[in-house]
Amino acid sequence: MASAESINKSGTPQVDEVVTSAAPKRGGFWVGLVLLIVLTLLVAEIDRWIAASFRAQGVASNPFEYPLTAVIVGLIANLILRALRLHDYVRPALRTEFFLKIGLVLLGARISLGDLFAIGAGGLIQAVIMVSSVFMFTWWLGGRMKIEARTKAVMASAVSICGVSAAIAAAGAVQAKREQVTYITTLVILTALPLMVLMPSIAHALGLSPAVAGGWFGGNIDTTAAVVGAGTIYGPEAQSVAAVVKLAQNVFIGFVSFILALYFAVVVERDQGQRPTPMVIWQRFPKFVLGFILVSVLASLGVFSAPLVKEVNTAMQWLFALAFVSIGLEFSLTDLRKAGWKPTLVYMAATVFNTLLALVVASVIFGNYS
Amino acid sequence: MANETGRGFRLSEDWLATIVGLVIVAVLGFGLLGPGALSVKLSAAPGASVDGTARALSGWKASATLGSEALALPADMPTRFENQTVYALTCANGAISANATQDLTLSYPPDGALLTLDNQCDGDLVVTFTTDPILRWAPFGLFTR
Repeated sequence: MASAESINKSGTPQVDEVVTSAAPKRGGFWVGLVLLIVLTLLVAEIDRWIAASFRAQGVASNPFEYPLTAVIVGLIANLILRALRLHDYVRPALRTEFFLKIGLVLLGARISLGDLFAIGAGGLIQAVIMVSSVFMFTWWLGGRMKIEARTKAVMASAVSICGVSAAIAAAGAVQAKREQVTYITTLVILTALPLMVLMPSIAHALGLSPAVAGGWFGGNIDTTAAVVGAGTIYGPEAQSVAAVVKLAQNVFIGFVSFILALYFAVVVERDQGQRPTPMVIWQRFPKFVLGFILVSVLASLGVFSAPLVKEVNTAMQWLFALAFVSIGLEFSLTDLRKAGWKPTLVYMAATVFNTLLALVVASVIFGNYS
Repeated sequence: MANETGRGFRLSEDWLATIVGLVIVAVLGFGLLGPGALSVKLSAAPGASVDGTARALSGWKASATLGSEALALPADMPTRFENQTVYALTCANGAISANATQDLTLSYPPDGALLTLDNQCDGDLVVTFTTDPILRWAPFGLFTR
């Protein structure tokens, strides 16, 4: 992800300013790293407390996912560090992109093509229809609303595939700015929470069978935890179908990330009049996507056992938590304001489209499911 | 791809992240530090017997419930399963006993042991064997729910 530089009207450096006047101090790096680790541990503790609170309410998985907690904790620390004039001192340790890229390589261990074929034809067909239709709709609407290409790519992936993980993977693939990732992941989590509670009530009101309701939840709600949460509220069968449909959609992360990386390298970042030679494409292509695909292929071949995938997944969550705390620490309200309300409107419209299409597709595919 | 500078050779952030990620996957995913958190659960109704398999390694921890109550385990409850060995667990009079025998006429899983559970007690019996995760640093598991 590219870092941006901006100066406001009074000449005061903005949050995302690239430090050039003072060379990064080694001491600042180590102090910053310790601070980052302490804040990430704090995020993990808060996340555990939130998860326990949801469990007490009968929701097995925490739908208020840790990236949002991490950004909020980082943002509070950001404000304190600025007040103490220590922000520039610790900045060398904030390696957001580096943490995200390592985490994305690890994400590959969770994406097994075998899952796609193990879930059955119904889930697979629904996943293909939903991912392709919702992605194209969001991309088209984003284009109509003149949304910046990287925001559009991150948003379309998040809405159509699986929320936060897809947003992070797509952001890495198209080298989006951290403000764009924050914007979209915040929308994803804040939208998923009410949907988790509302959709089971609406499904009851519509008299949907557990299988159709599960297919609807899995095809529409963006975060996996909220999908499981909605399914849990509706019943075990709905939960099972919802999880299967979501799992099928998750598998598309790798495919979509690779296509996006290639598309941005060949089309979006092409200079006017420049012919995208294989060497230029290779130079622009985010190389860690290859690591992600390699690990995903190994996972598809069954190289990793389930307990070991869980271990890799935990390491991935720590790296993403480090990255999102860093995002909070580097957060620029100015850049977020610059993005405006248009991405929110497009996201909401895409969610409505997703909701209606998922209901129709789930009714057709799971209507006679037993 | 590596960036060459005037003073030496530096890996780009992309490649460095890829290498670090692959090293983590190799160390954790290929089990270089251990097999991860394994779990074997044997459940038997009163009067029933069940079988199971477990990997032959040390560090297994056992727990048991009879009905809804936790059951005290004997001091000789196995913590290490040997290859091609049968571990027979029996519940009688509200207590569990364990006995290990080698029977080479049986079919074993590769690098594994057989477990049998014979429940002669009054309630439903559940015996669970688990191993620790690879990284035992407590905070590492905070996100794992």
